[in-house]
Parts: sequence; structure tokens; C-alpha cells
Amino acid sequence: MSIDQSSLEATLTSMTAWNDPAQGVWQTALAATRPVRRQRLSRPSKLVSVLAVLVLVGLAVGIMLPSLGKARSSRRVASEMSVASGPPPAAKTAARARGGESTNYAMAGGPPPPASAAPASPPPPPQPAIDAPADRMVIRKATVELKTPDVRAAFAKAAQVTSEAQGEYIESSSLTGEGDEMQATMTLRVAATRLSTVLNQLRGLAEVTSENSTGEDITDQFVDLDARLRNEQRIETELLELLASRKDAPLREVLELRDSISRVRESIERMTAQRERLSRLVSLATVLVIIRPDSTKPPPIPDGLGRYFVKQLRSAWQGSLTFLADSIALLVHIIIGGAVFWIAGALILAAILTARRRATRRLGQEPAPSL
Amino acid sequence: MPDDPDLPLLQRFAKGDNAALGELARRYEQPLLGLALGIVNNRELARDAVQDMWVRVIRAAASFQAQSSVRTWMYRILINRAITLRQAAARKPVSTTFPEADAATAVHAGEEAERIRTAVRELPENQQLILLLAYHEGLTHEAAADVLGIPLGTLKSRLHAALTALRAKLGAEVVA
Repeated sequence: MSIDQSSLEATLTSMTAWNDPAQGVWQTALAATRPVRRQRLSRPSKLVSVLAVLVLVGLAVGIMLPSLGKARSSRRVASEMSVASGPPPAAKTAARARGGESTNYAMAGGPPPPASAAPASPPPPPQPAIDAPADRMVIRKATVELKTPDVRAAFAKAAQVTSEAQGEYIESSSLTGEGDEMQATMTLRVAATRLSTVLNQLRGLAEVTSENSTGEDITDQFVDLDARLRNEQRIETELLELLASRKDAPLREVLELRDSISRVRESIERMTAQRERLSRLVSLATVLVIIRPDSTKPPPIPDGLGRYFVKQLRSAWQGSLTFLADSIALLVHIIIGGAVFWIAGALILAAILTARRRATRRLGQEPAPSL
Repeated sequence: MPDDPDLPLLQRFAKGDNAALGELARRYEQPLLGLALGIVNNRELARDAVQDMWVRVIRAAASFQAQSSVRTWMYRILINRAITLRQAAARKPVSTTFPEADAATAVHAGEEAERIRTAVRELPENQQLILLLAYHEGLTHEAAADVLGIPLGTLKSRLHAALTALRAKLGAEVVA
């Protein structure tokens, strides 16, 4: 059986002929592709967004870590300081109120508490007054040692913390020596209720090197004295009554009675004086202030407006330099500390970009059909 | 391919001009559907293959690198996609039963043409493809060689071999 060559060719040609004129497949593809294309294209964008978020989180963590570390170390330092310097003021107050206890704040070798950090700093907020309970009698004593470049000025300021209106006074004061040997000592009697305020004022005058407070509970002594006094007064009354009822008694007895009355009165007067002395000791606390020179710091120069401006300018310059140094340190910290994240991020980004580039290249090319 | 007449159309489409894609479709969609039909021997699959090709063209229009002509690129995409679809359909028991031939052409085809079609389908895949491309109306032999990525001489020799195999299948000598 023979087949015509032209018939063969016609049949082969007809095998790849599309006789239906109605097409529009491209429109279907276009309609179907739009959302798909958007979705496909948005996938790398999503990856980039996720990467950006990761980078931002890494950055935030990098920024926060040093701050957290600083905060942690500050807290540790503060905690160590509080351990070294004793219980907090509230605890000290309570301890003093219980009586017979003392607190000692040695500042040597360690930073001073914030209230007394620098003479130039504003005075700390006054602490609540130490009020002894009505039924407790406590004699309060405090010793504050200060260090300042200008002993004389601090001495003069310390003398002004007493309030004469409240019966406070300077019990003693002395200023001895010259230069580095200069030392000022002052004993202040201040109202016990104002002790905290006065101590705060003193702390603001200069750098505190040591601080010591004691409280002596004399309630029992006072009560005992009071009882004895009342007893003596009763005896005096009885003796006076006895004397009045024995007007006709022999002279010797009368003289003996008068002598007894005299002894009792003497005793009453002595105990009354003692009672008043104790009351005074309780109502007025004793504060010993010792001021020594601080040779490490130059004496402060009285500020005029110009000097103040220059000082502020210098301070601002120092502050800006510190800020710059801190910023550079932070940047270095972020760059070096977060190096692993940066490298990982860069690798991921490079991988994504390479994959995208390859995909795009692959999409724009088509290999020849393999035969 | 700077002298490619289809390249400006693709570039216009990449910039958002859908009409340019319509013009490309006007030029090539019908022959592409024909070639797809020749490969997959099923109208629906042929439409799917062409639609997939358009999807690919739409997605890659902006990144087309013009290392070949747009037409060659489109034909390559179509052939690769059509072969994939045919292989996938062959693996599915339900859809492996291709229609004997296009209904429209079957009406007009005679017994002789049907014999030739059957013989072509029985040839190895590469020889089928050579025959279909070589006698496809939309392509010259040079263009077909370009689509297959082979030199023209190679195409001709492979075409000769395919025809010889076809004649052997038909069991009769083809007279000129």
C-alpha cells in the first residue's frame, strides 16, 4: 500500500493545526495570573519584611542589652553599698526608736550615699522626723564627719543649721589648724524631732566620710526617777502635816522633823533637776560635726555669672564628649556583640537575593526541549 | 535578539500594556495551540499547556533576557510544558485514554490520515517532536532548530531518520 508524500506532509501538518478560531487563552491566563503574580512577588517581600523585623528586634536587643547590663551592675553596686553601709534610713529610724542601738555609716573607701555625694548637689529631701513614742525616752546622739575643700565655709554653714526658735543651740565649736591640717569641730543641740532634717542639711554641706548615730533608752530610768520624786514629795507632805499637828512637841523633836523635811526637800530638788536634765537630753539631740579638708579637690570658687557660664559650658562639653564616647561604645557593642546576628542576617539576605536572582533568571530563560 | 519583532511587544507588556500581550497572542496563540494539540493529542490539555505557557510568559516578561527570540522562548516553554502534561496524563489511569483524535479533524480525516497519525503516535517521543515541529505551520526549519537548540543540519538529519521510521511503521513506501 502506497502513501502519497503530499498526503503524508498534509497529515503531519494537520496534526499541529488548531481549527477553532475562538481562543483567548491568554486572557484567561492574564486574569488568573494577576493575583498569583502579586502573591508570588509578595512572598520575597514578606521574607524581606520578616528579615527587617528580625534585624530590628536584634537591634533593639543589642541596644537594650548594654542598658540592662548597666542597670544590673548598678543595682549590684547599690546592693553592695547598702550592705556595706548598713540598713536603710527607715530601718535605722525603727532601730533608733527601739532605743539603745547605734548605726554607723563608714564612708571610707566607698562611695558616699547620694544625699551626700557632692557639696554642690542640692540638699536631699528631708527624711521623716525621728519621733520617739510618747512613752519612750530616748537620748539621741549623732556624729557626722565631713570632707570638703573649704572647711571654713562648711563650718560657717553648719553653724546655721540650728534653729534658735526651737531652743536649739551650738554647744561648742572650734576651728583649728591651717591648710591640710585644718579641722572644725562643732557640737550642736538640736530638737530631737528635727534630727533627721539637721543631718540631711549637714550631709548636703560636704562629702560625708562617716556618720554615726546612737540612741540611749532612758525610759526606765526616767520612770524610776519620777516614782522616787513622787515618793519624796509624799514624804515631805507627811512630814509637814506631822510638824503642823505636833506644835506642842518638844523642841528636839521639832528640830529633827525640820531636819528631815530639809533633807527630803533637798532630795526632791536634786531629783527634779535630774529629771529636767534628762528631759532636756531627750528633747534635744546632740550632733557632733567634724569637718576635715579634702585636699583632692580644689576649693570652690565663688560663682559669678561669667564663671557660672564657663562652668556650665565646660560641663556641657564634658557631657557631650561622654555622650559621644557612650554612643561609640554602644555602636561598637551592637556591631561586635551582635556580629553573629549580623552575619546570620547578611547570609540569609544574600541567600534570599541569590535565590530570587536565580529564580528570575530561570524564569526569563527556557531550556530547549531535550530530545 | 535586537531585531526580534516580538520583543517590543513583550517589553510593552512588561510595562503594563496588556494590549501588547494581546497582539502577541494574535500572532502566535493559534499555532501554539496547534503544536500543543500535536504533542498532547487532547484539546483540553493543549489549552492547559498554552495557558500555562502564557502564565509563565506573563510572570517572566519583565525578566526576559532576550537570549533567544520571544517566539522561540514561547515555543520552548510550550513544548516543555506540553511534554510534562502529556507525561502526567499518561501516569493517570483515568486520563491516559486520550481521545483518538481531535473530533473536528477526525470528521475530515480519512482512513489514510488516521493511519499516519497512529503511526506517528507510535514513534519515539523525540522523533514525534521532530516531525511535529518540522511540519508545524508556524515554524520554518530554521526556527524549529532554534526552538530545539540544535543546528539546522542536525534537525534535517533527525527529520530524515524520523520519516524513515514513520515509513517503516506505515509498512509501505511513500511515493513522491
